Amino acid sequence: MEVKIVDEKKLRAENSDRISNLPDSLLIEILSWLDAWEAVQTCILSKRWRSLWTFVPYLYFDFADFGDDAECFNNFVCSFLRLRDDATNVCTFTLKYSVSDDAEISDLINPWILYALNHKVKNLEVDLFGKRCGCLTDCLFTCASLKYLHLNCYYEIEPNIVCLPKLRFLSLYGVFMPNDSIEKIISGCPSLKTLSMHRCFIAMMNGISFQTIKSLTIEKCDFYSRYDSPNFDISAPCLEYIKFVKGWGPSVT
Amino acid sequence: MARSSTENMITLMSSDGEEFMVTEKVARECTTIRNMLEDDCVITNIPLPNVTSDILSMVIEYCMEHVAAAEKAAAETAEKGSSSAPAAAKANKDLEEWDKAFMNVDVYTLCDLILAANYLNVSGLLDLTIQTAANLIKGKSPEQIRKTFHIQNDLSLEEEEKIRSQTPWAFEKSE
Repeated sequence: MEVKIVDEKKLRAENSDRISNLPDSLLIEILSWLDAWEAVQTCILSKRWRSLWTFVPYLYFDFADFGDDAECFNNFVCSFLRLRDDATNVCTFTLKYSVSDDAEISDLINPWILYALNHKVKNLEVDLFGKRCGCLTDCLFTCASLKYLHLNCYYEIEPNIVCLPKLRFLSLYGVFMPNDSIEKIISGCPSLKTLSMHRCFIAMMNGISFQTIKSLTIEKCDFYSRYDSPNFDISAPCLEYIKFVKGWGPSVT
Repeated sequence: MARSSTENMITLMSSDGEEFMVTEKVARECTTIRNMLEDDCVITNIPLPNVTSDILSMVIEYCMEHVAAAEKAAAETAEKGSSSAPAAAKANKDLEEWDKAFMNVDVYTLCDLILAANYLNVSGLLDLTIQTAANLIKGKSPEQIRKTFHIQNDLSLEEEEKIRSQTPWAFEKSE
Protein backbone atom coordinates (compact mmCIF):
# COMPACT_ATOMS: atom_id res chain seq x y z
CA MET A 1 0.00 0.00 0.00
CA GLU A 2 2.75 2.40 0.98
CA VAL A 3 4.59 1.68 -2.26
CA LYS A 4 1.49 2.66 -4.19
CA ILE A 5 1.29 6.05 -2.42
CA VAL A 6 4.92 6.78 -3.21
CA ASP A 7 4.38 5.82 -6.84
CA GLU A 8 1.35 8.06 -7.14
CA LYS A 9 3.26 10.97 -5.72
CA LYS A 10 6.16 10.32 -8.03
CA LEU A 11 3.86 10.12 -11.01
CA ARG A 12 2.21 13.39 -10.03
CA ALA A 13 5.64 14.96 -9.70
CA GLU A 14 6.77 13.71 -13.07
CA ASN A 15 3.78 14.88 -15.01
CA SER A 16 3.12 18.22 -13.43
CA ASP A 17 4.34 21.52 -14.83
CA ARG A 18 4.66 22.95 -11.35
CA ILE A 19 7.07 25.77 -12.17
CA SER A 20 4.79 27.46 -14.71
CA ASN A 21 2.13 27.72 -11.99
CA LEU A 22 4.35 29.87 -9.80
CA PRO A 23 3.27 33.53 -9.72
CA ASP A 24 5.01 35.96 -12.08
CA SER A 25 6.99 37.59 -9.27
CA LEU A 26 8.68 34.30 -8.32
CA LEU A 27 9.42 33.30 -11.92
CA ILE A 28 10.97 36.72 -12.48
CA GLU A 29 13.11 36.18 -9.37
CA ILE A 30 14.31 32.88 -10.83
CA LEU A 31 15.17 34.60 -14.13
CA SER A 32 17.03 37.30 -12.17
CA TRP A 33 19.74 34.76 -11.35
CA LEU A 34 20.46 34.12 -15.02
CA ASP A 35 22.64 35.95 -17.50
CA ALA A 36 20.61 38.20 -19.81
CA TRP A 37 20.94 35.82 -22.77
CA GLU A 38 19.77 32.85 -20.69
CA ALA A 39 16.80 34.79 -19.35
CA VAL A 40 15.64 35.94 -22.79
CA GLN A 41 15.76 32.44 -24.26
CA THR A 42 13.03 31.30 -21.86
CA CYS A 43 10.59 33.24 -24.08
CA ILE A 44 10.03 30.16 -26.25
CA LEU A 45 9.44 27.66 -23.44
CA SER A 46 5.67 28.20 -23.63
CA LYS A 47 3.09 30.99 -23.80
CA ARG A 48 3.38 31.42 -20.02
CA TRP A 49 7.08 32.31 -20.37
CA ARG A 50 6.72 34.49 -23.48
CA SER A 51 7.36 37.91 -21.92
CA LEU A 52 8.54 37.17 -18.35
CA TRP A 53 12.16 38.07 -19.20
CA THR A 54 11.13 41.63 -20.02
CA PHE A 55 10.36 42.28 -16.32
CA VAL A 56 13.66 41.10 -14.86
CA PRO A 57 15.25 43.90 -12.79
CA TYR A 58 18.73 42.31 -12.64
CA LEU A 59 20.61 42.67 -15.93
CA TYR A 60 23.87 40.88 -16.50
CA PHE A 61 25.64 41.30 -19.84
CA ASP A 62 28.96 39.55 -20.34
CA PHE A 63 30.84 39.85 -23.62
CA ALA A 64 32.77 36.68 -22.77
CA ASP A 65 29.57 34.70 -23.42
CA PHE A 66 29.54 35.91 -27.02
CA GLY A 67 32.81 34.42 -28.18
CA ASP A 68 34.52 37.70 -29.13
CA ASP A 69 31.74 38.57 -31.59
CA ALA A 70 31.33 42.29 -30.81
CA GLU A 71 28.61 42.84 -33.41
CA CYS A 72 26.52 40.02 -32.01
CA PHE A 73 26.98 41.27 -28.43
CA ASN A 74 26.20 44.92 -29.29
CA ASN A 75 23.10 43.89 -31.19
CA PHE A 76 22.05 41.68 -28.30
CA VAL A 77 22.33 44.39 -25.63
CA CYS A 78 20.65 47.04 -27.81
CA SER A 79 17.75 44.72 -28.71
CA PHE A 80 17.37 43.47 -25.15
CA LEU A 81 17.09 46.99 -23.74
CA ARG A 82 14.76 48.10 -26.54
CA LEU A 83 12.30 45.24 -25.98
CA ARG A 84 12.54 45.14 -22.19
CA ASP A 85 9.50 46.43 -20.25
CA ASP A 86 10.16 50.15 -19.95
CA ALA A 87 8.16 50.55 -16.73
CA THR A 88 10.27 48.02 -14.81
CA ASN A 89 13.15 49.65 -12.98
CA VAL A 90 16.64 48.20 -13.04
CA CYS A 91 18.00 47.06 -9.69
CA THR A 92 21.38 45.77 -10.83
CA PHE A 93 23.13 46.41 -14.12
CA THR A 94 26.36 44.62 -14.86
CA LEU A 95 28.29 45.13 -18.06
CA LYS A 96 31.44 43.12 -18.61
CA TYR A 97 33.05 44.03 -21.89
CA SER A 98 36.63 43.02 -22.54
CA VAL A 99 37.15 44.77 -25.87
CA SER A 100 40.14 43.28 -27.59
CA ASP A 101 41.37 46.37 -29.43
CA ASP A 102 41.72 49.96 -28.30
CA ALA A 103 38.41 50.97 -29.84
CA GLU A 104 36.80 53.75 -27.84
CA ILE A 105 33.47 52.16 -27.09
CA SER A 106 31.97 54.94 -25.00
CA ASP A 107 29.62 56.02 -27.83
CA LEU A 108 28.28 52.49 -27.84
CA ILE A 109 28.00 51.81 -24.11
CA ASN A 110 26.95 55.27 -22.87
CA PRO A 111 23.34 54.73 -24.06
CA TRP A 112 23.28 51.41 -22.16
CA ILE A 113 24.58 53.09 -19.00
CA LEU A 114 22.04 55.90 -19.44
CA TYR A 115 19.29 53.30 -19.79
CA ALA A 116 20.27 51.87 -16.39
CA LEU A 117 20.54 55.34 -14.82
CA ASN A 118 17.15 56.37 -16.23
CA HIS A 119 15.61 53.20 -14.79
CA LYS A 120 16.73 54.04 -11.24
CA VAL A 121 19.58 51.55 -11.08
CA LYS A 122 20.87 50.80 -7.57
CA ASN A 123 23.91 48.68 -8.32
CA LEU A 124 25.96 49.47 -11.39
CA GLU A 125 29.07 47.68 -12.53
CA VAL A 126 30.92 48.64 -15.72
CA ASP A 127 33.89 46.39 -16.18
CA LEU A 128 35.97 47.06 -19.28
CA PHE A 129 38.95 45.24 -17.79
CA GLY A 130 41.06 48.39 -17.61
CA LYS A 131 40.66 49.06 -21.32
CA ARG A 132 40.43 52.57 -22.72
CA CYS A 133 36.87 53.49 -23.44
CA GLY A 134 36.68 57.20 -24.24
CA CYS A 135 34.54 59.18 -21.84
CA LEU A 136 31.65 57.73 -19.90
CA THR A 137 28.58 59.86 -19.34
CA ASP A 138 28.79 62.41 -16.50
CA CYS A 139 25.25 61.34 -15.51
CA LEU A 140 26.99 58.52 -13.64
CA PHE A 141 27.82 61.10 -10.98
CA THR A 142 24.37 62.60 -10.55
CA CYS A 143 22.22 59.49 -10.12
CA ALA A 144 19.92 59.72 -7.10
CA SER A 145 19.24 55.96 -6.90
CA LEU A 146 22.80 54.62 -7.10
CA LYS A 147 24.02 52.70 -4.02
CA TYR A 148 26.87 50.68 -5.48
CA LEU A 149 29.17 51.74 -8.30
CA HIS A 150 32.07 49.79 -9.70
CA LEU A 151 34.02 51.20 -12.65
CA ASN A 152 36.91 49.32 -14.16
CA CYS A 153 37.96 51.30 -17.19
CA TYR A 154 40.74 53.51 -18.33
CA TYR A 155 39.36 57.01 -18.53
CA GLU A 156 39.55 60.44 -17.05
CA ILE A 157 36.87 61.26 -14.50
CA GLU A 158 36.29 64.95 -14.32
CA PRO A 159 32.62 65.53 -13.56
CA ASN A 160 31.28 69.06 -13.18
CA ILE A 161 28.94 68.02 -10.42
CA VAL A 162 28.93 64.97 -8.19
CA CYS A 163 25.64 64.26 -6.44
CA LEU A 164 25.26 60.63 -5.39
CA PRO A 165 23.26 60.95 -2.18
CA LYS A 166 22.69 57.21 -1.69
CA LEU A 167 26.05 55.85 -2.81
CA ARG A 168 27.53 53.58 -0.12
CA PHE A 169 30.08 51.61 -2.10
CA LEU A 170 32.46 53.00 -4.71
CA SER A 171 35.10 50.94 -6.41
CA LEU A 172 37.35 52.46 -9.07
CA TYR A 173 39.89 50.59 -11.10
CA GLY A 174 42.29 52.22 -13.54
CA VAL A 175 40.66 55.64 -13.70
CA PHE A 176 42.33 59.04 -13.77
CA MET A 177 41.15 61.66 -11.32
CA PRO A 178 42.77 64.94 -12.34
CA ASN A 179 42.48 68.34 -10.64
CA ASP A 180 39.94 68.30 -7.83
CA SER A 181 37.99 65.21 -8.99
CA ILE A 182 38.70 63.16 -5.89
CA GLU A 183 37.55 65.98 -3.58
CA LYS A 184 34.42 66.47 -5.68
CA ILE A 185 33.61 62.78 -5.53
CA ILE A 186 34.13 62.54 -1.78
CA SER A 187 32.08 65.64 -1.02
CA GLY A 188 29.33 64.56 -3.44
CA CYS A 189 28.84 61.16 -1.77
CA PRO A 190 27.60 61.90 1.77
CA SER A 191 26.64 58.25 2.44
CA LEU A 192 29.87 56.64 1.23
CA LYS A 193 31.04 53.85 3.53
CA THR A 194 33.38 51.82 1.35
CA LEU A 195 35.91 53.26 -1.08
CA SER A 196 38.22 51.09 -3.07
CA MET A 197 40.72 52.43 -5.58
CA HIS A 198 43.03 50.21 -7.59
CA ARG A 199 45.66 51.41 -10.05
CA CYS A 200 44.13 54.87 -10.21
CA PHE A 201 45.96 58.09 -10.95
CA ILE A 202 44.87 60.66 -8.44
CA ALA A 203 45.68 64.35 -8.21
CA MET A 204 45.63 65.59 -4.64
CA MET A 205 46.03 68.73 -2.64
CA ASN A 206 48.11 68.30 0.51
CA GLY A 207 45.64 65.91 2.01
CA ILE A 208 42.14 64.64 1.94
CA SER A 209 39.49 63.85 4.49
CA PHE A 210 37.20 60.84 4.12
CA GLN A 211 34.58 61.81 6.70
CA THR A 212 32.06 58.97 6.33
CA ILE A 213 34.26 56.13 5.12
CA LYS A 214 34.56 52.97 7.20
CA SER A 215 36.48 50.83 4.76
CA LEU A 216 39.26 52.22 2.58
CA THR A 217 41.39 50.33 0.10
CA ILE A 218 44.09 52.08 -1.90
CA GLU A 219 46.03 49.67 -3.99
CA LYS A 220 48.87 50.54 -6.38
CA CYS A 221 47.51 54.01 -6.98
CA ASP A 222 49.67 56.86 -8.16
CA PHE A 223 49.16 60.11 -6.34
CA TYR A 224 50.52 63.28 -7.67
CA SER A 225 50.49 66.60 -5.98
CA ARG A 226 49.14 69.74 -7.45
CA TYR A 227 51.57 71.60 -5.19
CA ASP A 228 54.67 69.43 -5.42
CA SER A 229 54.17 68.28 -1.87
CA PRO A 230 56.22 65.22 -0.92
CA ASN A 231 53.55 63.80 1.40
CA PHE A 232 49.80 63.58 1.64
CA ASP A 233 47.70 63.37 4.75
CA ILE A 234 44.60 61.23 4.74
CA SER A 235 42.15 61.68 7.56
CA ALA A 236 39.27 59.29 8.07
CA PRO A 237 37.65 59.53 11.50
CA CYS A 238 35.17 56.64 11.01
CA LEU A 239 37.68 54.21 9.56
CA GLU A 240 37.37 50.56 10.63
CA TYR A 241 39.36 48.90 7.87
CA ILE A 242 42.23 50.10 5.72
CA LYS A 243 44.35 48.38 3.13
CA PHE A 244 47.16 50.26 1.51
CA VAL A 245 49.48 48.86 -1.12
CA LYS A 246 52.04 51.34 -2.33
CA GLY A 247 52.13 52.51 -5.90
CA TRP A 248 54.54 54.93 -7.46
CA GLY A 249 54.71 58.59 -6.60
CA PRO A 250 54.91 60.39 -3.26
CA SER A 251 54.18 58.63 0.01
CA VAL A 252 50.95 58.88 1.90
CA THR A 253 50.72 59.34 5.65
CA MET B 1 4.97 44.84 23.35
CA ALA B 2 5.19 41.74 25.50
CA ARG B 3 8.35 39.71 25.09
CA SER B 4 7.74 36.02 25.26
CA SER B 5 10.34 33.54 26.35
CA THR B 6 12.14 31.61 23.62
CA GLU B 7 10.96 28.36 25.25
CA ASN B 8 7.36 29.03 24.19
CA MET B 9 6.02 26.34 21.94
CA ILE B 10 3.90 27.12 18.90
CA THR B 11 1.72 24.67 17.02
CA LEU B 12 1.72 25.02 13.25
CA MET B 13 -1.05 23.27 11.41
CA SER B 14 -0.62 22.21 7.78
CA SER B 15 -3.34 22.33 5.13
CA ASP B 16 -3.93 18.57 5.53
CA GLY B 17 -4.45 18.96 9.28
CA GLU B 18 -1.13 17.75 10.61
CA GLU B 19 0.22 19.56 13.69
CA PHE B 20 3.85 20.51 14.22
CA MET B 21 5.11 21.72 17.62
CA VAL B 22 8.08 24.05 17.28
CA THR B 23 9.85 26.49 19.58
CA GLU B 24 8.87 30.09 19.12
CA LYS B 25 12.42 30.82 18.03
CA VAL B 26 12.15 28.38 15.13
CA ALA B 27 8.68 29.69 14.20
CA ARG B 28 10.03 33.24 14.16
CA GLU B 29 12.37 32.32 11.30
CA CYS B 30 9.20 32.66 9.21
CA THR B 31 8.62 36.41 8.98
CA THR B 32 4.91 35.80 8.31
CA ILE B 33 4.60 33.95 11.64
CA ARG B 34 6.84 36.45 13.44
CA ASN B 35 4.48 39.23 12.36
CA MET B 36 1.47 37.24 13.62
CA LEU B 37 3.20 36.68 16.98
CA GLU B 38 4.04 40.34 17.27
CA ASP B 39 0.45 41.33 16.53
CA ASP B 40 -0.92 38.82 19.02
CA CYS B 41 1.60 37.47 21.50
CA VAL B 42 -0.73 34.91 23.12
CA ILE B 43 -1.33 33.03 19.89
CA THR B 44 -0.05 29.43 20.11
CA ASN B 45 -1.89 27.69 17.31
CA ILE B 46 -1.34 28.82 13.75
CA PRO B 47 -3.16 27.25 10.81
CA LEU B 48 -1.23 27.41 7.54
CA PRO B 49 -3.81 26.57 4.89
CA ASN B 50 -1.34 27.07 2.00
CA VAL B 51 1.28 24.55 3.11
CA THR B 52 1.00 20.77 3.04
CA SER B 53 2.50 18.65 5.84
CA ASP B 54 5.40 17.22 3.81
CA ILE B 55 6.48 20.73 2.71
CA LEU B 56 5.89 22.26 6.16
CA SER B 57 8.07 19.60 7.78
CA MET B 58 10.86 20.51 5.35
CA VAL B 59 10.50 24.24 6.05
CA ILE B 60 10.68 23.49 9.80
CA GLU B 61 13.74 21.29 9.26
CA TYR B 62 15.43 24.17 7.41
CA CYS B 63 14.53 26.72 10.11
CA MET B 64 15.71 24.41 12.93
CA GLU B 65 19.05 23.83 11.26
CA HIS B 66 19.60 27.55 10.70
CA VAL B 67 18.53 28.49 14.24
CA ALA B 68 20.88 25.83 15.66
CA ALA B 69 23.77 27.13 13.52
CA ALA B 70 23.15 30.72 14.63
CA GLU B 71 22.93 29.63 18.31
CA LYS B 72 26.16 27.68 18.03
CA ALA B 73 27.95 30.67 16.50
CA ALA B 74 26.58 32.98 19.21
CA ALA B 75 27.66 30.58 21.96
CA GLU B 76 31.19 30.35 20.56
CA THR B 77 31.43 34.12 20.31
CA ALA B 78 30.25 34.49 23.93
CA GLU B 79 32.71 31.86 25.14
CA LYS B 80 35.80 33.25 23.46
CA GLY B 81 34.84 36.90 23.59
CA SER B 82 35.07 37.09 19.83
CA SER B 83 34.42 34.65 17.05
CA SER B 84 37.48 33.14 15.46
CA ALA B 85 37.47 33.73 11.72
CA PRO B 86 38.47 30.16 10.65
CA ALA B 87 35.84 28.58 12.92
CA ALA B 88 33.16 30.93 11.60
CA ALA B 89 34.22 30.20 8.01
CA LYS B 90 34.02 26.46 8.69
CA ALA B 91 30.57 26.80 10.30
CA ASN B 92 29.39 28.78 7.26
CA LYS B 93 30.77 26.16 4.92
CA ASP B 94 29.10 23.36 6.89
CA LEU B 95 25.78 25.19 6.69
CA GLU B 96 26.24 25.72 2.94
CA GLU B 97 26.91 22.00 2.54
CA TRP B 98 23.79 21.24 4.55
CA ASP B 99 21.75 23.63 2.35
CA LYS B 100 23.13 21.97 -0.76
CA ALA B 101 22.17 18.50 0.48
CA PHE B 102 18.77 19.85 1.54
CA MET B 103 18.17 21.00 -2.05
CA ASN B 104 18.52 17.48 -3.38
CA VAL B 105 14.80 17.28 -4.18
CA ASP B 106 12.67 16.75 -7.28
CA VAL B 107 11.46 19.84 -9.16
CA TYR B 108 7.90 19.33 -7.90
CA THR B 109 9.02 19.57 -4.27
CA LEU B 110 11.37 22.44 -5.17
CA CYS B 111 8.49 24.50 -6.60
CA ASP B 112 6.32 23.77 -3.53
CA LEU B 113 9.20 24.86 -1.29
CA ILE B 114 9.53 28.11 -3.29
CA LEU B 115 5.83 28.80 -2.75
CA ALA B 116 6.00 27.93 0.97
CA ALA B 117 9.17 29.98 1.53
CA ASN B 118 7.49 32.90 -0.21
CA TYR B 119 4.21 32.56 1.73
CA LEU B 120 5.93 32.08 5.11
CA ASN B 121 8.57 34.68 4.15
CA VAL B 122 11.69 32.70 5.04
CA SER B 123 14.17 34.81 3.11
CA GLY B 124 17.12 32.40 3.36
CA LEU B 125 15.06 29.46 2.13
CA LEU B 126 13.48 31.55 -0.64
CA ASP B 127 16.91 32.63 -1.93
CA LEU B 128 18.18 29.05 -1.71
CA THR B 129 15.24 27.54 -3.60
CA ILE B 130 15.10 30.31 -6.22
CA GLN B 131 18.82 29.94 -6.88
CA THR B 132 18.48 26.18 -7.11
CA ALA B 133 15.72 26.57 -9.71
CA ALA B 134 17.85 29.08 -11.65
CA ASN B 135 20.79 26.66 -11.61
CA LEU B 136 18.54 24.00 -13.12
CA ILE B 137 17.87 26.39 -16.05
CA LYS B 138 21.46 27.55 -16.48
CA GLY B 139 23.38 26.04 -19.37
CA LYS B 140 20.34 24.22 -20.80
CA SER B 141 18.66 24.57 -24.16
CA PRO B 142 14.96 25.52 -24.15
CA GLU B 143 14.09 21.88 -24.92
CA GLN B 144 16.20 20.64 -22.00
CA ILE B 145 14.58 23.21 -19.68
CA ARG B 146 11.09 22.02 -20.70
CA LYS B 147 12.13 18.46 -19.98
CA THR B 148 13.65 19.30 -16.58
CA PHE B 149 10.54 21.12 -15.35
CA HIS B 150 7.91 19.20 -17.39
CA ILE B 151 6.88 22.46 -19.04
CA GLN B 152 4.09 21.89 -21.55
CA ASN B 153 4.98 23.69 -24.75
CA ASP B 154 1.68 25.17 -25.92
CA LEU B 155 3.31 27.12 -28.73
CA SER B 156 2.76 25.64 -32.17
CA LEU B 157 5.78 25.03 -34.35
CA GLU B 158 4.76 28.06 -36.42
CA GLU B 159 4.44 30.26 -33.33
CA GLU B 160 7.84 29.17 -32.07
CA GLU B 161 9.41 29.86 -35.46
CA LYS B 162 7.75 33.26 -35.51
CA ILE B 163 9.22 34.19 -32.13
CA ARG B 164 12.65 33.04 -33.25
CA SER B 165 12.47 35.02 -36.48
CA GLN B 166 11.13 38.14 -34.74
CA THR B 167 13.88 38.08 -32.13
CA PRO B 168 16.84 36.46 -33.86
CA TRP B 169 19.28 38.35 -31.62
CA ALA B 170 18.04 36.38 -28.63
CA PHE B 171 19.05 33.06 -30.13
CA GLU B 172 22.16 33.94 -32.14
CA LYS B 173 24.43 33.35 -29.21
CA SER B 174 23.77 29.68 -28.64
CA GLU B 175 23.12 28.51 -32.16
